[in-house]
Amino acid sequence: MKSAFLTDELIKMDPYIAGSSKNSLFYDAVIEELRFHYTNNELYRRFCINKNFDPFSFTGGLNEIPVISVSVFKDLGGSFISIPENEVKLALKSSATSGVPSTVVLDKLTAKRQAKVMVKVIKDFIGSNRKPFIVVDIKPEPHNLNFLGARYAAIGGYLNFADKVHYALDLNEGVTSFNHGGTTSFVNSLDQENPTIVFGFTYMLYANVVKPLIAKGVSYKLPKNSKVIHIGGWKKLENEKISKDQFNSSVATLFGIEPKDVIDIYGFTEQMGLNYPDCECGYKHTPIYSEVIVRDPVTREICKEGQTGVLEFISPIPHSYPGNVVLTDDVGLINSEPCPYDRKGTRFKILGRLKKAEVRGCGDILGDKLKFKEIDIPRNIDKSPKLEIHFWMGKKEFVNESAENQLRMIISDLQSKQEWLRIQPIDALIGLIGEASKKWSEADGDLANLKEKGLAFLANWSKPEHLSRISTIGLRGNRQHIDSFLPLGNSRKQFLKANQRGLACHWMAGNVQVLGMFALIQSILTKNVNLLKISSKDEGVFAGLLEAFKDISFTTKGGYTIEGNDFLTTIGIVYFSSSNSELGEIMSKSANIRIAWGGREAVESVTNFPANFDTEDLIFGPKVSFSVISRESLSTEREAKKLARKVAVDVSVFEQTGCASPHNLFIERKGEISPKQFCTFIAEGMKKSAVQIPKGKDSVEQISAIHSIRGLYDFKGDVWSSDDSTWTVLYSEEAELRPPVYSRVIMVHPIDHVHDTLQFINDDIQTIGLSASGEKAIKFAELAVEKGVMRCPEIGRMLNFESPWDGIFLMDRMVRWSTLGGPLV
Amino acid sequence: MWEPQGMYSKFVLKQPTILFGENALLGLKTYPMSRVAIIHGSTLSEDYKAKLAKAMSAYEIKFVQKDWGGEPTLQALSNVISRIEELRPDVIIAIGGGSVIDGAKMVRTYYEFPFFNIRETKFSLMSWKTTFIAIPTTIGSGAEISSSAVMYNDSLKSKEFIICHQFIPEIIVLDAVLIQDAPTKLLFSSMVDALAHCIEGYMSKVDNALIDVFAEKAIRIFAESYQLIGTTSIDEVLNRIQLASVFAGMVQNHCIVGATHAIAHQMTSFGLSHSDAIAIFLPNVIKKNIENPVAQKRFNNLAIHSGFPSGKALLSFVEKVISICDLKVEKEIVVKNKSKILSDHSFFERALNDKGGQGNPIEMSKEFLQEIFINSIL
Repeated sequence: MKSAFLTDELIKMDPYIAGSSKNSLFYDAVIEELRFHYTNNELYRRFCINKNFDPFSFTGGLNEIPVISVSVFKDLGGSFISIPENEVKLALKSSATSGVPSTVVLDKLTAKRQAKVMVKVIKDFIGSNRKPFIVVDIKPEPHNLNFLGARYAAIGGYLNFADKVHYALDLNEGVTSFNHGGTTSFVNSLDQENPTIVFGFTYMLYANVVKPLIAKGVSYKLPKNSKVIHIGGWKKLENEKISKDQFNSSVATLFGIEPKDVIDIYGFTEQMGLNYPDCECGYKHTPIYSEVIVRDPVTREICKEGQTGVLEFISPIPHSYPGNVVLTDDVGLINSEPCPYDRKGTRFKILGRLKKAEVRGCGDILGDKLKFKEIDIPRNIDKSPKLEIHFWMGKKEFVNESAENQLRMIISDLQSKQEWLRIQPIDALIGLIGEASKKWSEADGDLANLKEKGLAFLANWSKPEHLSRISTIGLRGNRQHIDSFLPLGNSRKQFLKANQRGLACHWMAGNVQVLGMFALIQSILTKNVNLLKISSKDEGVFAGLLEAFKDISFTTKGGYTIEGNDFLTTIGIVYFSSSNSELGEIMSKSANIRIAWGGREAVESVTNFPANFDTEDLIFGPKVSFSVISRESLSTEREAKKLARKVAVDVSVFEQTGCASPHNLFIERKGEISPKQFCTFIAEGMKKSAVQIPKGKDSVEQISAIHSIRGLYDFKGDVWSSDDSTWTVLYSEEAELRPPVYSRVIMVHPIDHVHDTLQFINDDIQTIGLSASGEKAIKFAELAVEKGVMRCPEIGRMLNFESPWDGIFLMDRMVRWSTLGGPLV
Repeated sequence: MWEPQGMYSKFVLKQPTILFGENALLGLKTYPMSRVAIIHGSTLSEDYKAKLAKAMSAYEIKFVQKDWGGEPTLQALSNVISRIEELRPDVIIAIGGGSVIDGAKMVRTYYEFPFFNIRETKFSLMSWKTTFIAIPTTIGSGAEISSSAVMYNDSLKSKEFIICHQFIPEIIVLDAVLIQDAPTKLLFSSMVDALAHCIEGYMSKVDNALIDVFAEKAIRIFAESYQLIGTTSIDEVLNRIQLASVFAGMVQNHCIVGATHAIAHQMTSFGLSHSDAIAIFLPNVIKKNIENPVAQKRFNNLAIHSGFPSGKALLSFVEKVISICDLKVEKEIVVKNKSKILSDHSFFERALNDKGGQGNPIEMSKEFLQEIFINSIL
């Protein structure tokens, strides 16, 4: 047992000693632990070098020590250790209510410290006398270790305060159940003068015990001054809209205690053992074993007092892993006023958790592949009859009608416009869209906001010559199929014509709206009327794009004029909650074509609503993409720089929210330019792209995600980035397909051969941007498409929408094909 | 619009199906058609219209008479475009001379791509939805096989050459009946135009060994057939001349022609027809060019491979055909304008910059062209 560390002196002290700042022992203990990690942990040493931090020469303040994001513990897990493997006593995993769990490994020394500081802190709140404990969990026996995870250690720690224990949950075949009879007997056996402690994990306590028992009218009468202490966090309860007051009140009712005796204890796996119970003053206090700093989640600067930010915790306790200076996802603030209950230590409050960066792109497939039948769509939760009409130039005689009737009337009016659209020549429609595309390319007025949302790309794609080509390819080699009968093949006897299907209903996603426009335009060119149900995150994008058609017209050279205002009566844009099944069903049942792009919400909606048997479904589900570069493509510096510039374009377009956006780049070793050197070229390219493709504002959550991944690569490899969150190039030696971070973050991995990436291909991979030539290129492409990839375009053109897309010739599916004459056989 | 042809110097572009010989027109029966628009000039007879309609198995056939003259403006084409738009044809046939065929190329373009803008639209992205068939009623111009069309820009008051290899029709029908009543003089001057395409194309800086064969074959056919023009109405002879004219057009389309065309293009504004202007200047351009030994060797090669004993004999043949054309009146026009032209600095500047003359084997200068001009009217 190691014992010569300053920390072990520190933890002998009482937790809440006088003085608002930490004494020098705390500082020295932290630095000493960091030196230990620097010496014994290769990953941490690399991180420190990347951050220009040397704990042996460091003399700065605690707030100047480089922080490690909690996400690093998710990625590095058990390998992030500072001790020999034979000294590992236990690996703790977080409960991971969402996503990948954090893992920390403990040696005897760390475990001992954790237990000791936990006891000292909790003792200050519930007293030092041992008490009866009701633990709302299963018994922490070794064979339950896997099931309990980090709860195992936590329960063990609290048992230090127990004189007798009742475990209120039973485990049968992996399923827990509340033991009501046993608990009642235990409560009845208690001495009413001897306070009891109920201990549980917040969400389990509520979901498995409090909520069902209250619903059944069950209550217990615990001895006077009994307390309920709970740990584990509020995230899931927030999701269920349960406030802390509601929680405390329900718990107090169930156990017959005062709400003030329900104590929330904050803590996190990465600094297990450090507990932060609610003080009577309404705040939590840092004990002498730790300190808290509030940082701006965007700049990571220290926040002013009272200002809300993400919480950083500093503690010398972790010894077996470098979890001493940790930046959490938890949001809170500090109050420097003295505690009215005279408890010392920095007062802080947890206000919630920084939301996980909202999954805005198609890449959320990786961790959770969709299986439609397993998705439990909440039905009828939203009883709101609300129908928002965002764009509609048809009849407006439904002002006082119900939402359902309004939607039916819009659909009916759209269907009445089918004939008008049917007789429009396709080339005139192309010309009109071309006129709108000029407005899109100018991006004036309201459209200016769409510049960062791919408007320029849409404008270019919508140029008439391009649409002419797309519709020629999409309509079996001749766009005139939609206007009239044409010879089928080379037959003089049989003729073929494409016909509108009727009403196309689009369930738009909020991520890559421009992609939705591609579908809409192709639906128009196949002369279908269109009803768009936009995402709640639409922000007026589609309506803004359609505004471009107002008051414009296009006249063919032969004098046929098509008016934009007439054209607009064939399109409606509405919004209603995706959980409003009635409106969703009306729309779905009316659709001759149902189209859903990208977003999970849209995809689920489409597939779960009833539809006519002959309705054509065009589902463009979530997909991800990556890029591959062969060594031959890096034969000269000039070629490599040119290619890097193209990589930068792919990474910058749509902020990587497109299904075809690359998030990972695999580069063959042994080229003239090494993969790592190529990263420096990409970084140069990203700088230029940042100017040429301006980036919109990132959300706080997105910035936090970018900080986290940069932090991780400070351990794993190398980071090139802008000073702000604009772009990030990450390099590590591991050949792995990492989940998307979005917002111009590209993760580069060296490989020995392009075929090494085949292992990452499955049905979820849409596009591989390929820079290779000759036999290597075609063999790779053949193997890749065989495994499920749809496209292997050139790097730099990955996001260029093309037909087929996702394996589908869109226009071909948007029409009915009819014949005249024949058949030939 | 100008697409440089340099890269095609070693290409033979995709060529149309050529229906020729007796009953060539009936060959159309083998092609699938749904709706057909036939653009024609004012001289197409009702009998021929009936014959043409009978030669096709389409659901609907519509004859649309062109109403533009010479190089059309967009405005002049609009009436025909309107009628085409109304029909929505999948096959467009142009039957007539160079003006009809070139105009129909643009009608087709504007019908299919109503957004087409000469200066902006990229042809490379465009795919035709119609089949284009050319039935020439003249010889010599090569319009039926050329990648170009000429428009007149009213606002800029200038000609606009639109060059796109996709203009080449999918099918050409060579029906001798259509030229059997043509005036002899017209046939001869048109033949000279075709000879000029062969000779200037063959000697062009754009060297294409495969296309050379077409030049040699065309000259050989002309040499074998010219004496029969006017003396017989044998369709077979006329049809061979039509075929040779198409070959000559292919040569012109692949190998940029030279000084003869550079000067001739400037003379149309003085009231000379293109073919007459070519006939006036071609011999002296040849003479001037073959002062250069390399060019002379090339010319001699052409002569020998075309069945002549020497270059001198080929030149004599050219002069003989021209002499049949009787260009007295036309030469007088040139003589009349001689001093005006020679004092007009811009005349030769325009000739030097004329894209149709850039293939001349000898570097052209103002003095070079002036000398040819003066020698041609001596």
